Amino acid sequence: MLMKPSTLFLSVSLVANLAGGWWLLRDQSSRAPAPAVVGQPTAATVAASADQSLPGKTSVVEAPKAPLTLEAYRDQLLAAGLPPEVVRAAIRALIEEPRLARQREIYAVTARQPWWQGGIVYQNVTPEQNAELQELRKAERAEILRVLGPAGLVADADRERYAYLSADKAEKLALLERETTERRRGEPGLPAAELQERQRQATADYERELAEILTPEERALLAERESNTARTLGNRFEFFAATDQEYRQLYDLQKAFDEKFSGSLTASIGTEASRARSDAMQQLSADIQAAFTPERYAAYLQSQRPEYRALLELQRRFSVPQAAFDQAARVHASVSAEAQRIADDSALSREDKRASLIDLAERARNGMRSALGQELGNTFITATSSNWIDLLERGSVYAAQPTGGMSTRNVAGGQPVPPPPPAPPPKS
Amino acid sequence: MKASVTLLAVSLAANLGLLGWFAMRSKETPTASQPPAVAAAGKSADAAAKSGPSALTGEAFATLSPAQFRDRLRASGLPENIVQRLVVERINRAVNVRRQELLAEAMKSAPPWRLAALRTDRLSVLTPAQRKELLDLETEARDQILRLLGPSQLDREGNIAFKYGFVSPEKAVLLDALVRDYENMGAQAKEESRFLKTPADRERDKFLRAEQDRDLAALLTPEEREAFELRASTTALNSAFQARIAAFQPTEAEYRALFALQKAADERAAAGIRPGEPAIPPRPPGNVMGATMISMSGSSQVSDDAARAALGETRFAEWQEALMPHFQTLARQAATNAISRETVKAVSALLTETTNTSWQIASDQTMDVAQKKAAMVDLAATTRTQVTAKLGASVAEPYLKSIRWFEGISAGTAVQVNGNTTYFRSVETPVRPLPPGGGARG
Repeated sequence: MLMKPSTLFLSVSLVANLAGGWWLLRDQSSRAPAPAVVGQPTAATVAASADQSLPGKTSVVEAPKAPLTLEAYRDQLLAAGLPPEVVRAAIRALIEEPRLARQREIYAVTARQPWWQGGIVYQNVTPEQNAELQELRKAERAEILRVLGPAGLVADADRERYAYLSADKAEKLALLERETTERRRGEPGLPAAELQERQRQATADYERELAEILTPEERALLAERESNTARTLGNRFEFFAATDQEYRQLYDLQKAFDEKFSGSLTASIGTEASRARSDAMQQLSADIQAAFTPERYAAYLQSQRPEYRALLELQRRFSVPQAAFDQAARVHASVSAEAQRIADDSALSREDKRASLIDLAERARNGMRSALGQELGNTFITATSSNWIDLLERGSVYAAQPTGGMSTRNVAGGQPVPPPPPAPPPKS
Repeated sequence: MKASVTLLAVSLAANLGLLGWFAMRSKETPTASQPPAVAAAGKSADAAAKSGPSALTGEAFATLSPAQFRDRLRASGLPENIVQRLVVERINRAVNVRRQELLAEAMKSAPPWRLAALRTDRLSVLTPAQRKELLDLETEARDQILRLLGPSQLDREGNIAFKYGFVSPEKAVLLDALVRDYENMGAQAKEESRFLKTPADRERDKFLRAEQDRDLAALLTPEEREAFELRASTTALNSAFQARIAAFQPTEAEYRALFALQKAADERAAAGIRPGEPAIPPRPPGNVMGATMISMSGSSQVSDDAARAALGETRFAEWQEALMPHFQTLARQAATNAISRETVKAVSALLTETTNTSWQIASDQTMDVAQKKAAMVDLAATTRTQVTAKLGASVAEPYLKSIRWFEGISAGTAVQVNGNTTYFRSVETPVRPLPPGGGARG
C-alpha cells in the first residue's frame, strides 16, 4: 500500500525527531561530570573548601560551572601554555589540601594545650593523629602519582640537588629516596626489633633499586656528594685548600671506616662495639697522617683549629696583606706546637708547665701584634671565638684531631676547662 | 490549520533545532588523536586568547604582573584555589629562576667537599652575597603573596598558626615574616663572624635586637608582646630550656619565674659576660676515664641558686632531676605512650640508683675485676627487668637503648650522672685511694 507524500514526509520528520532526541539525551548523559574517585580529593571538592574572601579581588568567578576533574584542570592549564612545573605545583597543591586542612585542625587543637609545660616548639601530635596524617599522606602520594606522574612528587630542591644526573634519573632517584624514608619509618608502638628489620630491608631495597637506576659511575658521583663520608669530610676541608688527590685519599680512608662502623655510632659507651670503634678511630688518625707529607699534615691540622679559621676570617674581613697573614699563621703554628711540647714534657712540674704556658700566651700576643699591627693584632687576640690565648694562660692545651674535633688537656692542675666550642655549622 | 500540518511544522522546527545543535556540538567534538579533556581545554584556551582580558596563556604567566595575572585567572573562570596557587607560582618564579641560575654556575666550580653540604643546605655552594640576594628576593615574594592573596597561602601547613596562636592568623603571618627577616639578618651576621667576633659585631647584634624590639612593639599589643616573649622569643625557644621545662612540667607561675631567669642568663651570654669558671658539676670521687658534656653551656644556663630561690627546695629537686637526659627522654615519651608522671619519676629514680650502684661497685676495694664485672652484669639485668615491668617491653626496650650509658654497665663501665654531665669509669681501672677527707676529684 502506498502512503500519501504528505504522510510519508511527516513520518520521516517524526522519526528524525525521535532519533535526534535520543542522540541529545545520550550526549547529555555522557557529558555529566566524572564521578569523583572514592576517597580521593577532586578539584571540585577542593575548590569548595577554598576560602573565597580575599584581598584585592576584582572580578568574581562566573556562575558555578560543572566541576572538572583534576586531570581536566591539568590539561586545561597545560593547553593554555603554562609551564609544566607550574601546572604540577598548582595541581599538587590542590591534592595536598585535604591532608593539610586536617593537619591544621590537629595543630589548632594541640596549640590549646598548656604552653607553659613544653609543647611550644613541636606539636604534640598523638600516635593516632600521626597515623591518620600518615594515611592521608599515603593517599595523597597515590593521587599525585595518578594525576601528575612521578614528576609530581619531585620538588625543585630535588632537581637542583641531583642536577648532575639526567632529569629522568634525578626524578627516579628523588622518588626512591622519598619512598625509602617512608619505608624506614615505623608506626608508633612498633617493636624495636621489627623496626630494625624493616629498616634493614628498606636499606637493602634501596641499594638494589639504586643499582637499577644509576650506572656505577653515577653511583660513585652520588656517594661523593651525598654520603655521610662526604659530609664528614666537607666540614674538615672547609678551610683547607686540598688537592684532588688528597681529598680522594682521605675520602677512601674515611669511607672504609664509615662502612665498618656506621652502625656502632650510637653504641653504648663502654661496650665492646664502642671500644672497637675507638680503636679503629685511632688507626684512622694514623692513616690520615700517613696520607700527607709532614708539612701538609701540619697545614691540615692547623686548618681545623678555630683560631686559625678566625685568622682567615680576619684576613677576609679586614683585607690583611698576605705577608702579614703568613707571618701570623707562622706565629700561630709555632705557639700551638710549643704548647703541645710543654704539655708533653714529663720533666716539667705542673707549676713549671703553668709558668711556661703563661709565657707562651704572652709570646702569642706579642707575635700576633707584631705580625698584624697593634690594632688588628688586638682585634684577633680579643675577638677569637675559641679564646685560645686565654685558655693557654689557664693551663689548657688543646689539639686538633685528624678525624675532626679537638682534644683538651689541662696540664697545670687547675679547674678542668671544657674544650673550645665545636665549629658552628657553616650555614644557618 | 489541519492538525497534520501543524504537527509537520512543529516536527520540522524541532529537526532544524536539532540540526543546529548538532552543528555546534560537532565543532566541540575532540579529534581522535586528542584526549577529550585536552581538546576541550585547547578550545577553551583558544577562546580565552581571543577574548582578550580573560585569556589564560603562557605569555600571560610570563609577562603580566602578579596582580594582573591573578585578575586574568579569575576572569578565566578557574576555581579560586587554583588561581591562588598559580599566582603563588608566578610570584615565586623570579626566586626559583635566579636560584637555579646561581646554583648551576656555582656547582660547575665547587670542589667535591663543598657539594656534600648540598644535602642539608641547598644553598651551601653560594657566596654570602648570593645567599643574601636570594633571601631578599624571597622576602619580596612573601610580601607580595601576603598583599595579593592574604595569609592562607603562606601557612598551608598550619605551623605559623600553631607557633603564634596568641594572635590572629593575619597577624601571625606578619609576625612570622618579621621574625624571619631578623633571623635572616642575624644568621648573616653570625655567618660573617663565626670565628671572629669583634666589638663592632656585638654592637651590630645589639642594634638588630633593638630594631626587632621596636618593630615588635609596633606590630603587637602589649598583651600580645608579652605572650610573644613567653612563647616565641629566642629564650622561649631555647631547645635545652624547653626540653627541661617539658620534663619538669611547671605551673604557669613557675614557668614565668624560670623564663625570667633564663632570659637573664641569655642576655648575659649575648653580652659576652663569661662566668668566673665553667659550670662543671663536681666529679664523683675516684678515677674518671671520661666525661661527656651534654646540653647547655654554663654561661646560658639558669643558675641553681636563683632557681632554688624561685621554686623552693622540693620543686628545685625536681627541677634538678629534669636536667638529666634519661629523665627528659622518658618524660618526652610519656604523653604518647600513656605513661604516668609517677612512673616516669620511678623509672628515673631506678636508673639514678643504678648509676650510683655501678660507681660503688667500680670503687669497691674488696672486689676483684672479675667479681666487679659479674656484679655489673647482674645490676644491668636487674634494672632492665624492673624498667620493663614498669614500662612494658615495647617502650622499655627502645628507651634503654636510647640511654648511651646503659649497655655499658653490663660491659663493665660504671656511670655517674651529675645534672647534664655524665662520667664514666671502667671496673678495670685500678681504684685510687681517696685522700683524707674524701671527695677528691678524679
